[in-house]
Amino acid sequence: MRMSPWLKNEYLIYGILLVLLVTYVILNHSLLSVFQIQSLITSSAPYFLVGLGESIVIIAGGIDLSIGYMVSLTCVVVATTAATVGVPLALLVGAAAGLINGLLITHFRLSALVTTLATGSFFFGIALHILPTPGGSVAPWISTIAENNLGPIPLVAFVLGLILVLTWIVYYRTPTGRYLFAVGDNLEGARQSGIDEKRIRVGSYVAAGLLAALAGIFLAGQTSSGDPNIGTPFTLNAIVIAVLGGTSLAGGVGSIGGVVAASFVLTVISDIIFLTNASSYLQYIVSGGILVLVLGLSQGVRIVRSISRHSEGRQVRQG
Amino acid sequence: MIFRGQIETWLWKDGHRQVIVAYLAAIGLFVLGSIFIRGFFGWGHILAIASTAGFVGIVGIGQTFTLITGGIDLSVAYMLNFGALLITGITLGSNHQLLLGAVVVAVVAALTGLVNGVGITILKIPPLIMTLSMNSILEGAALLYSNGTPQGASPPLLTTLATGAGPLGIPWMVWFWAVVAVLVLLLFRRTVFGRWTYASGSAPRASWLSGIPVNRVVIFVYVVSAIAAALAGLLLAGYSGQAYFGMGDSYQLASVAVAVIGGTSILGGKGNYLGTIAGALILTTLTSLLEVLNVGASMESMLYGVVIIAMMLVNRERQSS
Amino acid sequence: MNERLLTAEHIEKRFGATVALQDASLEVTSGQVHALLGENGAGKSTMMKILAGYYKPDRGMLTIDDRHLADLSHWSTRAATRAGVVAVYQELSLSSHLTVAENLFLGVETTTLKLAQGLISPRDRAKRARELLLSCDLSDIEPNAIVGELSLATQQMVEVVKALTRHPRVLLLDEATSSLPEDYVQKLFRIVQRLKEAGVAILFVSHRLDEIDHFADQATIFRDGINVGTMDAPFDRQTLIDLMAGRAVQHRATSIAPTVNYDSAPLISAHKLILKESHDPITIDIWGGEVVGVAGLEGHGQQEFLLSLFGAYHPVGGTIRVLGSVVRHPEPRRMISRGVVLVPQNRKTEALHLNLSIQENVALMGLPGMARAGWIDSRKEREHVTELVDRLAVRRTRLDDPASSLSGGNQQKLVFAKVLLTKPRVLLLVDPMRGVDVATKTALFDIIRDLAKAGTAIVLYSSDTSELVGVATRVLVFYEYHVVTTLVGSHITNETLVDAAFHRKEKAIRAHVSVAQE
Repeated sequence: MRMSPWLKNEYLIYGILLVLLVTYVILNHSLLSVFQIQSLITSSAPYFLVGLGESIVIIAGGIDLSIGYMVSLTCVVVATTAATVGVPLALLVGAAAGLINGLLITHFRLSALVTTLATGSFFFGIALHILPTPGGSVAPWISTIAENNLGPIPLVAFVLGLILVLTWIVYYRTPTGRYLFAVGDNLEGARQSGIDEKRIRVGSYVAAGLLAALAGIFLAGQTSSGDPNIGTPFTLNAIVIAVLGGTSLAGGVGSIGGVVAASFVLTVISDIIFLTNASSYLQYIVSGGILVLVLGLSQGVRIVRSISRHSEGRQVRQG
Repeated sequence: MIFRGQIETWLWKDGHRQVIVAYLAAIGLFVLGSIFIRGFFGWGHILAIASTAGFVGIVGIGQTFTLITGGIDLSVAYMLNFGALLITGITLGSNHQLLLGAVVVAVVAALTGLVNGVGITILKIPPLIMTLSMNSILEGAALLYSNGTPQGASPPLLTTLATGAGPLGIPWMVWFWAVVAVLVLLLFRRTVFGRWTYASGSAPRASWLSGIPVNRVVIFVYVVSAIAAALAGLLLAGYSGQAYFGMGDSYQLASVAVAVIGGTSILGGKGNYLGTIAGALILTTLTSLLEVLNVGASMESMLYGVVIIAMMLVNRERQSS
Repeated sequence: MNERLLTAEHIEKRFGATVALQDASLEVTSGQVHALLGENGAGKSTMMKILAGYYKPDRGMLTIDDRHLADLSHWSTRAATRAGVVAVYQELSLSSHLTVAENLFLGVETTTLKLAQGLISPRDRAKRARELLLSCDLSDIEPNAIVGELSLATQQMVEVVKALTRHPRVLLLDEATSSLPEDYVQKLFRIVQRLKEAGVAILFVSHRLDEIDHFADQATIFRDGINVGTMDAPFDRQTLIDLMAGRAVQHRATSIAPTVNYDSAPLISAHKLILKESHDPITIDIWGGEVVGVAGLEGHGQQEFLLSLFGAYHPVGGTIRVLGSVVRHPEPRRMISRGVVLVPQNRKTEALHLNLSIQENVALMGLPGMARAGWIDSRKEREHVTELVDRLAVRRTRLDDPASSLSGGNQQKLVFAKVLLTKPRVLLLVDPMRGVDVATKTALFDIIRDLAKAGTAIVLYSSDTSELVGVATRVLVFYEYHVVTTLVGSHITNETLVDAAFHRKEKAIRAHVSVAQE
């Protein structure tokens, strides 16, 4: 949208995505088929949803380690309730879970990290209690949205598109969106500017809860059942997507495009692993390694640069 | 008289009161269980609880001290699991390869801790992200190593250590945990390194200005944490007779819980392994209460969450007052 | 026409044991520019922050437009803004990743930039921002620029303009000009002039006396947390300086008998030390037995100088020598092992571990010397710690109590005990008497003198220049990251120090001083 320093981060993820797509096409020996693109979008959907949720929380200066378990909980809720109430109830549960996180962290001033770690365990426990093993049933229309296409376009793409547009409007066209960035950027400054920072921070956790609920509903639809363990890998992936997508862990910086690209990146990587017949277990190493690698390299470059600049300066002065 | 003076001093020391409260709570819980549940009370059950608490207690070593440095170690789940897989895979159920297996596990754990520590200190990756990512990497490594199906079985010696009865009718596990605990307490209470650990977590800049090699201290703490988790993995493999995937999952949060219950501050600088031991006893007693009530794994998971939040809220009150 | 807008009466504010303001009063009138003057630590900034709602005073009353606020428990930045009291802080309140326009209207969008649907129109916002900037003669600032990419001076101007979107009736400028180049200062004062004509009251803190001459209608001088005088323009400079510095010199003029042996090697030296890019280098030798004072206005490189000697700040260039040999890659640990120790400025975050015990704090720096193979010799530790704690007369109950249980003065004694345990050759002190009561101050000065007598080299930076009088054997006066003046012996007086700090290059003063580094 405009030039800013974090756009550079975004370019990085776009570059990675491009390289991966080219690799994929080469290994595939042909251009992507319509079906492959469709499946790319559908498999990326839950990643995108949790990544966006995590990104919103991190922009506001927090962190949410319970997001994967909120996915599990809402997935189980959809699969065990009547078709008519399942979706609204799951959304309500997601929002309530986010509200619990937000209130504990902002109003009781608890550490976001340990609080969401603990509430995550709590949500997981509830999910297990409702449905100890995978099962249940899901309203057919949810599965239809999760799996079917309208012409060449997956139905879920319309939902994602709507969320993208809504998020963009909130981010860049409403005071609330600007406050979200301002609070994460400079909390004290935001307070001095008369912003109700607590409301914004609680709101970010609620948004994450709602997006996790959407992911849970989608996954339930996709598998036509509920699974209390389905969300477990999503916590790490949500953080990976948010940060790879240019969200700064220091808060105040983040973009929508980066999150979209980063969620595609994770999907394309697992597709490549599948194509090359490599062990599917590599997926775990990639999930864990990619963020550490990117963060570590960027800091490594910074260290090297500062050392060379420093010694240069010394030589000039002493010479 | 001198002795009495020392005890008084010890009691006075900040943090020790919290430890004492934790032990009283552990006893209180046990008494409560004994009153309301038939067959709960008994010397055997006390020993069983102490023995079971040892597993989470040993994982809690790492969590206590990473928390004290102001960090956290979320890679303990798969460090434990990987350790268990390695020992059963290498020894294939025989005592002969136990030493080799233990050395391999120790080296792998030390390297893992080293990578965690270097990532956190030198590459400035937040502990949360570094260790959570490491957990996933270890999960992948464990899956690759065993190709998805755990091999072998635990050597009998480990099984004896984890389940057998030792001198005075006290389980070997309790003896072993006691020895480890004493070593840990000595390391962190009586050595320069231990003092530096507390200082580094309490005020990193002041520590650096006092000449403490803060980075090295933090790296070493993550090495200790990984080794402790792997050790718990060996013992757990001995307990189950084999290794399986997911055996470390519940220890992730449980280890944080026992440290926090025992008075370790998540803000760094405060904590004591004596407290963590009490925390492990409390959590295990609670779990065994739930087991008797037959509520299952779901309640256990919820319980961990509630206990941690409750402890943070309680400690918060203490701080503000 | 000019009516009283804001009155502060009997304001008292303490930070722990430190009294920042005691019974301070102030009155600002509409359409007037009011300067608030005083030395470092006189309480100016505290007063500004109280007026802005950033701090709640412990006692006192504010009156805004005849509305008395005796109960200030709900006084906050929001309340202040609502009452029309708006501050421009020295530390920036901007969000560095947002644009100029976004920052300008942050928190006031809904009332000013609302479309029918409650959405922001960035174009409209940018347009309004551009108009506002133009009216302030700042059309060179692009409304869509990201704030973090602008120079500090430009950010400071954005901060000023941001205050205008809050429609101030009283505008507080806390050293707003300190990071501004001359042309921006002119623009700022044109803005101030315009506001003044519109009836706004302006209260500003500045260290530049010529600015005060030019722009202020009134001046109030603070000293030690009280108002020591208010006067109308034109001002007499000498009177201002005297009021600022003029405390009864309560100094025990027990000047140190010079025991310095200049024939021996200097204990510590800095060679061509450049603290900041494109500033002059500093070269100095310091011998055992000396007490070298470091003075100047706050933020002119004094702290960086001391931290550089300790390896805790990386200067742009230059070398540090201890006992004649160069220290490569200076770092606190290396310096401590060479006998150089530092008492940092911030007691709570840099010097002490508040939740560790008294004993652990005192022993921390000298721990390797009290251990065998990594094991702490508990008895040795206790003996050493007890000896020092007694020598410094730290008032305490048990050595096992946390350091946080001590009062400010005793905490500072603890810091001294901690560094002295290492038996240092060179003692670097960064503003060690800040927030310390008089009795402790006297005790600590006695220790400093004793150490110097015993041959320790001491470098003492103090924000309260009067503390250097009677203690220092020479004083380095800093201005913009280099030493502008060195005062020696009897030339070290309150007046010469204040004058040199304000960098008045008048001959009368020059005659007294010898310029640094021939």
